[in-house]
Amino acid sequence: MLRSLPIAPRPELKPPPGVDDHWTGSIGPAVELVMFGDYQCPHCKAVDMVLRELRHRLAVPLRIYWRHFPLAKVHPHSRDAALVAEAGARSGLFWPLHHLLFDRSPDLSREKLLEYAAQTGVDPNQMSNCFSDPLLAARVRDHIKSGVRSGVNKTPTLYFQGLRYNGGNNAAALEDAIVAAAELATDSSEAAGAQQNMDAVDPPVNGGGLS
Amino acid sequence: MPVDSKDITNPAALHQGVALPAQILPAGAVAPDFSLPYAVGKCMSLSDYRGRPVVLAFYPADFSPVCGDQLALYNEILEEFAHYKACLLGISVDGPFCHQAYAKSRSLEFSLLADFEPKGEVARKYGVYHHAWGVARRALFVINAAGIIHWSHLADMDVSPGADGILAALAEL
Repeated sequence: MLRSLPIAPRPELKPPPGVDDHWTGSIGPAVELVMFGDYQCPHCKAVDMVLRELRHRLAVPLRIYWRHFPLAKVHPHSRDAALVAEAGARSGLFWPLHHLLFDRSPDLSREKLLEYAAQTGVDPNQMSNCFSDPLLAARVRDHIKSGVRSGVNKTPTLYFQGLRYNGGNNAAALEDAIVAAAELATDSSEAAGAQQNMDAVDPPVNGGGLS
Repeated sequence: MPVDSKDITNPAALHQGVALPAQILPAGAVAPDFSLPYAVGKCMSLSDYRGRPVVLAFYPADFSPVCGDQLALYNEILEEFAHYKACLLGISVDGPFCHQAYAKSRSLEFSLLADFEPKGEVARKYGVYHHAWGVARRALFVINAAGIIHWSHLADMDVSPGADGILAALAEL
């Protein structure tokens, strides 16, 4: 049975997930969940905790992407935290640092951020000048632009299969949404498979033979 | 060709003897001018901004959760609006003292206008007054430099509309 997600209106994610995105979870066909978030946002922290738990508990193949959306005017450490996470990514340690930042949030002063990076094993050389590195700043800015174009309306904002999710952010609501997205994906793929089978047995309109 | 707002009014809907639009003013309508307080004892008029685009963001109430998300987002991306030389104005039926406290608590860097007395008069002129709740609906207008509505959007009361529609409309100007 198809279940509808509480997602109307549903702006589309722009651009769709790509090779430059940070992702974790299943390889291959999976529910794609993109989260725009802010390391100093308590709601983002709560959702990150829920997703960590659901990713391990649910049997559903799930791939989680992260894009930065720091609301720096209300969360003064959020942009710095995003820059540190990006610097950590250069050492291949984005996700451990990402989770540690949320574990320690909102204690995210610059001094603490560098301490957290060191704790996760990030090369200190990667952290030098990270707060003023134009490449890191551009990457965070690109994420924000993507969010604005995609209709991000708060933090966190989530996208399932490329469409904005407007439902609740508690564990039960997110579990329902992930399962529903997986069912929809399965139904779509079965429908596509059935159509392919139909195409295989039905001759083309023009007969495909003698004419 | 601009549409005169009187062409889309509901004659039965009268407020202080003036015919009011039955629904949100659409693209092409002349944006009704108004003068509202942006701080205690200080007023601004829409016509003050003639010659540059204006984004009007009507919202239900200061200190409400969804409005907080919406305005925090706009506050964060003011540079995006500035890129189009657009001025962002928030409007609700809250009074100027309330706006002042709200703006300070959220570090808002754009003006909040008080559609306070007569209550909701400007929201009524734009067809976005919620009569049952006594507040402005959540509605967005992009007004061009000539004072014509280029884009309008009535959002759900309980879902922040984001900024993608606004920026797409500004890009079209």
